[in-house]
Amino acid sequence: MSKYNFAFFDEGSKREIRRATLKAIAIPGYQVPFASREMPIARGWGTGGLQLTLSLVGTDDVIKVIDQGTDESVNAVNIKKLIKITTGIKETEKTAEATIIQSRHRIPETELREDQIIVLQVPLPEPLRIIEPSEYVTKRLHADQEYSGIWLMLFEQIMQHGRMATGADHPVLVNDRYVMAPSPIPRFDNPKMHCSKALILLGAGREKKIYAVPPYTKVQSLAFEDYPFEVEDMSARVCRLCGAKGIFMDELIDEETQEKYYQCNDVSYCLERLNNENDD
Amino acid sequence: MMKFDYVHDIQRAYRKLIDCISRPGTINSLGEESQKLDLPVECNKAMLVLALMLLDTEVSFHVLGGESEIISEKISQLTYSSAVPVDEADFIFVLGDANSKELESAIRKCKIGDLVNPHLSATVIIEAEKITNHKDLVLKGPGIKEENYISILTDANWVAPRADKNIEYPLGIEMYFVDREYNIAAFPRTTSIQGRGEN
Repeated sequence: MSKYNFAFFDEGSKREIRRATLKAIAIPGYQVPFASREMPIARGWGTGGLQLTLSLVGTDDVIKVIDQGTDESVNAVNIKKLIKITTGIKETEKTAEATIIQSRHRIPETELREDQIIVLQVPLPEPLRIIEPSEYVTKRLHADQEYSGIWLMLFEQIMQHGRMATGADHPVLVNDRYVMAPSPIPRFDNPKMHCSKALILLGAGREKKIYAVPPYTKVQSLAFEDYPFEVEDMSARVCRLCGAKGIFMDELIDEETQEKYYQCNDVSYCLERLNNENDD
Repeated sequence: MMKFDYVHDIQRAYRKLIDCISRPGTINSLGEESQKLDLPVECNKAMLVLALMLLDTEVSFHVLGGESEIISEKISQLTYSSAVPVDEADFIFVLGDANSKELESAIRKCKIGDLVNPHLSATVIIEAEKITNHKDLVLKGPGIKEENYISILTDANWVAPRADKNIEYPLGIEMYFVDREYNIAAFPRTTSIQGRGEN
C-alpha cells in the first residue's frame, strides 16, 4: 500500500477533479471539462467514475462498486481492487452500508440516503452527440438551450416504432435547464434521479467530462404530452430466487427447458432478501 | 498538537465542502482541520484550508482586505497560484476586515463565465463573523428539499448584489463563507436567497 499515494492520485490531480466537481454541482446537468488522468485501467472502462471516487474517498469511507447491478463482475471487482489497494478502506456489497457507491449502468434498488454519494460511470456524456458529431457545436446548442434535435430524435422513434425506443440512457432535463445523459441506466432508474436524497456525480473519463445532479433537484425524463415517459414494464415479472416484484429484472433462459425466467438485476438486493428470509 | 495532513485533512475538508454546496444551508465545521494548520499566514485558517484545497498553478486568485498584499504573496508561495486582478480571478478571498464596498465591488466585477463555458466563473470565499442556523435567510433551489435557513453575520450586504450577479442563469458565481469559529457554508449560483419577510 505504501507504494502508492493515498487514493492513487497525486494531490494536484485530485485538486483539479475537485474543482471541476464543485462547479458541476453548482450547475446541475452541465458537463464540466476536466483533464482526465491516465489510469491503470483503459479509458472507457469506468475511469471517469473511478477518478471521481478517488478524489472523494477518505479513510472513513466504505465503498461499494457495482457493474450492471452486480458487485462481482470483472469491471466492478477490478475497480474495487484498485481503490482498496491504494486506500485500504473497507468495501461492502450492502447498499445501505456504503458511503460511496460507484456504479456502471444501474442505480441500486435500495433507496439511497442523504449521507451517501453515488458515482455513475458514463461512456457518452453528451446527449446531443447522436444528432451532432461536433463538440464545438453541441456546446453551443447547450448554451442556447437549443434542444430541438433531441426532441426530433424521440419524435422519429415514435414515428418508426410507435413509442420512444431509447433502451437505456433516456435523456433527462435537469433543473429546467440542461438536457443530460443520465448514463446508460435503464429507463426504470430515471425516476430515481428526480429529487434523489443522495448526491449524484457522473464521470466520463474518455470524454473528459464531470457532471452532477445535486440532491432534491428536478430531473424530468424527456417525453411528449401524448407519448408520456414510460419505464420498462416489470409488473408481471417475479424473481425466481427471492420472489421480488416491481424491481428491475434480468431475463434469462433455462438451458434445459428453454423457458424464460427472471432474476433481480441488483444482485445484492436479491441476496439481502434471501438472507433475511433465512433469518426469519 | 497533531500536524496538518495535506492529504487526509484536505480530503475531509473537501467532503464537508461538497456536503455544504450540494445542500445549501448546511453548516459544517472545519475546526479540527483548521486548528492543526500552522502556517505563517495571518488570515482565517478555514479560509487557508480552502486555499490549499483549491489553488494551484492552473488557477488564479485575488485577495481583498487589510493585509491583502502580504497574504496574497504568502498564498502564492504556498500554492503556486498566481494573484491577478479581481475581474480575472478564479477564486476571490474576502478577508474579515475588507470593507463592505470592497466586497460589493468584487461581486460586481468578478467573472461569471459565458453561456458556452459557464463553469469559467469566479468562486468568492468570504470571511464572516458568524454563521448560524438562525432563520435569517430563506434558501430555495437544487439541493434543498423545500426551504432551508441560515444566518450569516457580515458587515456587507451581499445578498442583493449576489442576486443581481446570478440573474442570468447558468451564468453566475459560487459563494463560500467561513466564520471565526471555522464553520463553513456554501451557495451555488442556483440557490435563491431571500431575507425573512421579503418576497
